[in-house]
Amino acid sequence: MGNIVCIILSVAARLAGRACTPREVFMYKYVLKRLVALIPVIIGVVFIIYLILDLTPGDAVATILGTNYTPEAAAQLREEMHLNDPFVVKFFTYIFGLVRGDFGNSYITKQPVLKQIGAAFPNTLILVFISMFICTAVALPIGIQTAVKPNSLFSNITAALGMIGIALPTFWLGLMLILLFSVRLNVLPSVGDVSLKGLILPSVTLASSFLAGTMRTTRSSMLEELNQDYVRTARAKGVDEKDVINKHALGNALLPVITVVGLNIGTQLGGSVLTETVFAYPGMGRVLINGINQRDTPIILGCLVLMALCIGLCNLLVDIIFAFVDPRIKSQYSKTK
Amino acid sequence: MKKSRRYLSLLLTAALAGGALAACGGSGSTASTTAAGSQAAAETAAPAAAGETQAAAESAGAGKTDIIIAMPEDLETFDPAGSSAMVTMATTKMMYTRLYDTHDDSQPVPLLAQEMIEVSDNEVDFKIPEGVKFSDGSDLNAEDVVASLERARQSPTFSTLMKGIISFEKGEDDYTIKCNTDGPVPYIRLALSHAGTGIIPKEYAEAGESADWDHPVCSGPYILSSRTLGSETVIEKNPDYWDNGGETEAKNEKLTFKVVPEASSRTIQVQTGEADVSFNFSTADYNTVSSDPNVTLYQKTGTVTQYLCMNTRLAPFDNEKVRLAVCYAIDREAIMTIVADGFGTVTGSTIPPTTNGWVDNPAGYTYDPEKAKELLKEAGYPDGFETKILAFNDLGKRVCEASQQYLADVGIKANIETYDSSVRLDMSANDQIPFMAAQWGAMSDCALVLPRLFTEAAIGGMNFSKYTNPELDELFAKAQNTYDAKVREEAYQECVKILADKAPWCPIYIPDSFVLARADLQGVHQDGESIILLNQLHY
Repeated sequence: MGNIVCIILSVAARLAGRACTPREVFMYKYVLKRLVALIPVIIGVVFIIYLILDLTPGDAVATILGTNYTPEAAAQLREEMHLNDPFVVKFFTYIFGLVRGDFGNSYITKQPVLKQIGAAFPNTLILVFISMFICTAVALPIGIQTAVKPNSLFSNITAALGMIGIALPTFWLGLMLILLFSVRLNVLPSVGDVSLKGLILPSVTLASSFLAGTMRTTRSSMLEELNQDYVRTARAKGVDEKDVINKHALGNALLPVITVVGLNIGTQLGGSVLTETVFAYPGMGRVLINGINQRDTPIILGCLVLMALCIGLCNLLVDIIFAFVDPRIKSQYSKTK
Repeated sequence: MKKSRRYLSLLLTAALAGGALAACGGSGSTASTTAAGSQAAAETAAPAAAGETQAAAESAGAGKTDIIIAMPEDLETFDPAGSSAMVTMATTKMMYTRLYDTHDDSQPVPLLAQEMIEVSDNEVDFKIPEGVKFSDGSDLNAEDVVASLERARQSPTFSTLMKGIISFEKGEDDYTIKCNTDGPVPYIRLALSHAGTGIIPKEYAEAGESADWDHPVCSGPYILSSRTLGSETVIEKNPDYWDNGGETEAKNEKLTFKVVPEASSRTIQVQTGEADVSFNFSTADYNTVSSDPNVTLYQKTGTVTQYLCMNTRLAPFDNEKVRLAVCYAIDREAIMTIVADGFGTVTGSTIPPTTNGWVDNPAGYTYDPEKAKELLKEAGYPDGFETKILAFNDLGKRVCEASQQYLADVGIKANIETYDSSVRLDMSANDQIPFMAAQWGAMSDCALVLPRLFTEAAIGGMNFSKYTNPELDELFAKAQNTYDAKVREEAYQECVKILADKAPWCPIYIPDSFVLARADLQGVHQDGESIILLNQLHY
């Protein structure tokens, strides 16, 4: 397969008027392998979730019928919805549908799952990325500063604030921010939406629980680099302290931070549910929670498959960035021909 | 440096402790709120702070014609027979007309049905006016009504409402609907007022799964304007509505349904003016709103009974005296205070006062632990017994926790177990629920309440107590087979007395129904299912 990729890339490069570099070929092969490896991951996620939902008692029929539930009505509805089919039949029907891009229809709304999730998923992505931007933009400078001056008052205060951020329940923090900024000060809306004002409170709330972790990772990574021999050498040679930090130490210190940020994105994708509920933000977390409460299997599977894909792609992106940023990995490509 | 770090740490610790203690402090007004809340009133408005009048309230709504409603969940579908969720029914009731409607007193009133003719015990005809149009300009006639009602009758979601109705057909002309029944159906007008009987074009009714519900064709006071899945739905006044100029005409131009899952967030939305009215008010926010001049809290006796259900086919609850002991063991007033902040009415009846056949505490339950112990002794449990009590939602769990100590005082050690609501039916079918906390919302006609709860056919469904009684079956049949309101009332009263004496349920309280709205919003009323009459809202 690697040879086929090489041939395809060579042809593409010729058409583009240049040859593929060994590094590019290596990267493309690497990305393709990782993407293909996602397929069994998705199948595994679907299998586990489907099995859990199939084994646990209760189904969507009780939600649909509500107080009009009778055994006869339930039997009729289960037959119409093919809920009595064997697990294997239901599982493979779903997998073959996934291959065709068909995530099925919601048991409750009868609408295509992709349509329901498709309206909500981009909103969650926007919320998560803005939240990570805030988290990184605040945590990085503070982490660096606390590493440069580890025993200062600023360092102690920010460490304490960071722990408070972790300890505060997201739910409570969100409500307090609403009370302050929406009710008392009336400067921000109490309900989140995909607008500049509507995103401020939800993204700050979501970012708060990841700030401390990112700060501490930056701090410890930076401290480790600042204690390295090459930094000592640079100082001995009279390099300005700012350049020591920004030009020499920072790049190396950022490598673990990139990993943490990448992992946080995955965590936030799944953990945005509370924030979305408090702020009534129209994101995928709410769709998933509603699906779970209503035992709407297609919705649950659709959300989780998308989340698994996103987390997999995020991890791949982090690895690709590493490959470009880390000179040790770069040098591996030049050896590979 | 070490000293300053130590002082800083102490200072921060003190600040945290002080903040935590301050947060734990309350406003001190809970007791007075509870006392005020325990008045069981007909629909009353609780204005802001004492002495404030509506005129003093911020009149930001003056002239506003677009009403924003904060809802706990998104609309599921525009198909009137597609869902029994409250939010969906509230919306489809505005988009589709029906033969009947209900208002504050839960009694059905004619809507599209201009005339009802009881041809015989097995046939009822309805006449609708000519000239009624759908929103696409097409005529609404008997064929559309028949197709819509047949669809509702055959749908699993609403078939229980149509018990006794065999079929709907087109009558003698294009504006007569013939309803064939298996004997008298005295609750037929109530059934035909339900949101599920909304009238849609025949083509939609017959299209099955291929019906285009994203583009609904409406017959009610509103038509669809826009929809953002998961976020909001906007419906606007239908210029071609058949009753424009009449009582059911929309008094506003637009209704925007905003999805706000969190109850406190919905309250804040109304307080800040981002929403004009909200559904499902939480009594935990009572203190917050009672001092806010910008909002009014409407309070009404509810239709939901909170109760403890006992499985009459599992020992020891198969013993009538044990069940009666439970009914005397608990202090209903105290439980209502703990769980619902006192907002409601204690009850000893299986149905609320809004349902025909209601009798006020027919067995005379009181809080009498000594009598409870005596009954347990007579039942053969002088030292009490141990059991489990199940809850399937947060409210049920709080009721269990409030009841647990009272039960323990008479010797019943009830261990609380909580489960997801989706497993309740399966567990009941497998006899895994000896004792549980539950709620039941009753319609105004008892024929649609008690037979769904206490018959053999309902076991495996809503008859969680698995209680049946041939005497009850006879009374149900007697009330079913006549249109005579007095006969029906007496039969259902007898049923309620039997159920109180046999005690498959231990009824506790009926929580009040609340609606929070902007202080200057007019026309805030609820129908028989506690759904706000949205077309009446205006400034």
